[in-house]
Amino acid sequence: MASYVFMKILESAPQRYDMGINLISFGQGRRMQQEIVEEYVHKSNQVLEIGCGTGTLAISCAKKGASVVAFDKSSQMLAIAERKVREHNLIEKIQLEEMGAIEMEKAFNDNTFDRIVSTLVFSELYADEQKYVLSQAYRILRPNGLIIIADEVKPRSSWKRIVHSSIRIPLALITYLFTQTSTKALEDIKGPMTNAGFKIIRERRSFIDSFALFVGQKE
Amino acid sequence: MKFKEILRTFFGTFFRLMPLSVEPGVRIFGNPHKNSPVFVTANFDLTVKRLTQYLKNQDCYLLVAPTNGINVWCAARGSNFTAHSVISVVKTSSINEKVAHRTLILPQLSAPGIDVKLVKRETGWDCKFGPVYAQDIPEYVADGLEKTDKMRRVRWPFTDRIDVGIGISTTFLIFILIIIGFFLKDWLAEVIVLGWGLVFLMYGLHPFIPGKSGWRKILFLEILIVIGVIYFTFPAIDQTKYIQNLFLIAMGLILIIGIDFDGATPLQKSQFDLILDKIGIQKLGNIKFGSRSKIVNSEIVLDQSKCTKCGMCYDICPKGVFEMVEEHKKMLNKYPEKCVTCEACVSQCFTGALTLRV
Repeated sequence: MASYVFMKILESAPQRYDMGINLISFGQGRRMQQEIVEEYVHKSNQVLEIGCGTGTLAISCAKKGASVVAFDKSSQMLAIAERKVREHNLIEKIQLEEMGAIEMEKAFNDNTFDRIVSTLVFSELYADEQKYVLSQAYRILRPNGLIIIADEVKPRSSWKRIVHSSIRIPLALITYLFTQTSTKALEDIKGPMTNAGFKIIRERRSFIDSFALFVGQKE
Repeated sequence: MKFKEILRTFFGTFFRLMPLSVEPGVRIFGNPHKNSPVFVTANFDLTVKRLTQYLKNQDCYLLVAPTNGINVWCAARGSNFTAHSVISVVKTSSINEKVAHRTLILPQLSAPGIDVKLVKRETGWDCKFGPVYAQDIPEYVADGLEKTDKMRRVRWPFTDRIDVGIGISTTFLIFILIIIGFFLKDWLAEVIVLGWGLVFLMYGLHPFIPGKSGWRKILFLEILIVIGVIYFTFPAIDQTKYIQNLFLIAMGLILIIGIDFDGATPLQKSQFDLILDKIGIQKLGNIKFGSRSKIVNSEIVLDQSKCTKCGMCYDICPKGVFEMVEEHKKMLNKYPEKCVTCEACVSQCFTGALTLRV
């Protein structure tokens, strides 16, 4: 009982993903990615990106000299990412894989990566999935390696919540109608990160508290 | 809690184009045992609620897979219901310990999106495609998980027509109401009554409106309206032109409600891309109508030399395009004109014998 139009529109949604993310996050999505690259990614790092979408963050990491493995579950997103990687001449630096986050156990060996980065992905995962991904991330990170999660969060104070939802709800509707892209706020991620064994070394919030960057270290 | 669910059902029913997700994971019905069937579905709120109606008297497990809050068919076509969704729910739900068998029953309409080999490789589970409609599940279980042809086909009964009609038209109508509210306030009540009235009439009477394809049906309705306008204009029945204006509003509303009258049904291919392409609109931003109109015109090709006569395409085609010819042990692409290019057969064909010729 589906509308065929809707199916067709959804099929081409990945092409509008970047636009949608920028709209709905007031450009915060991109700002956070720049911050991750500037502060946490170094030359010769082995970086894994969970849920790379159209590859923007992977490309910035590779430009800084890191070797990147990036995966996403959407083949259409990856097709766009692949084109962008080719345009930037970074084919040797970035390895793109089509897989879901829940398939990490067979794909990567223990102690492989220096950095695991993931933006606007954990909020899309359900509690059980987050637990799985964090435990896998812990396993495949090298000792002292960092996991950097940037995502949309719910503001902590109630007045900020009110201000935030009054802008966000109409914006989310419009963004979804035009780009079929939506995001949701991450609930508690520090708890699951700590449970997986990570030590939270930094938490930074921005934009009326609605975006946050969490950095965890494997001890 | 109850009120919240009523609100969610209301939203899901009237704003079908917006996703509405529920928590994925395992749901238990009745008193299932080690050999009870395991069904899989999408995590769209209405989908899970409606499915629950038909599973509540069964002993079974239901795995609600993460599909971004989108219904089965749309999610399967739009890369939201894929092998990754199934793998995720199998791995995180501990279903492995609950049953002794390893067979998932997926909704038939998920076939376009799911790579069953990948599910098998990652989880060890086999996939089987169940009936198209949840209402057929009790009969399907009673028959020992065997499908009849009736269970394989999409239907278009009155209740579904009204359901789809209000589900996809309400969003558009509300947009129109907002515009009318700004510029033509006096006509607001008329537009509300005409708008929803036309949705009920057009979808309710859909099979009976003359015209083979959707746009011919719309053309027929528009001609009726023109006749109406002429009828009410020349004898000068209404000097205030009120009725003429009503007809003109109806004319616009019919076009908007019926903008993709074929695509709104599960029976025909959408002509939306094709028409836009023909009138010269090849793309709007990133949506390319030109290239997609080629897919509308494409057809499924069956390479007999690769075909192993496994019957998968017959099993999952929602339109009954294929037929197994017993005496020649041959699969035939017998009714190609029925095909809606959902590509279920192309993605499930194990040997690559089926392809889409653009």
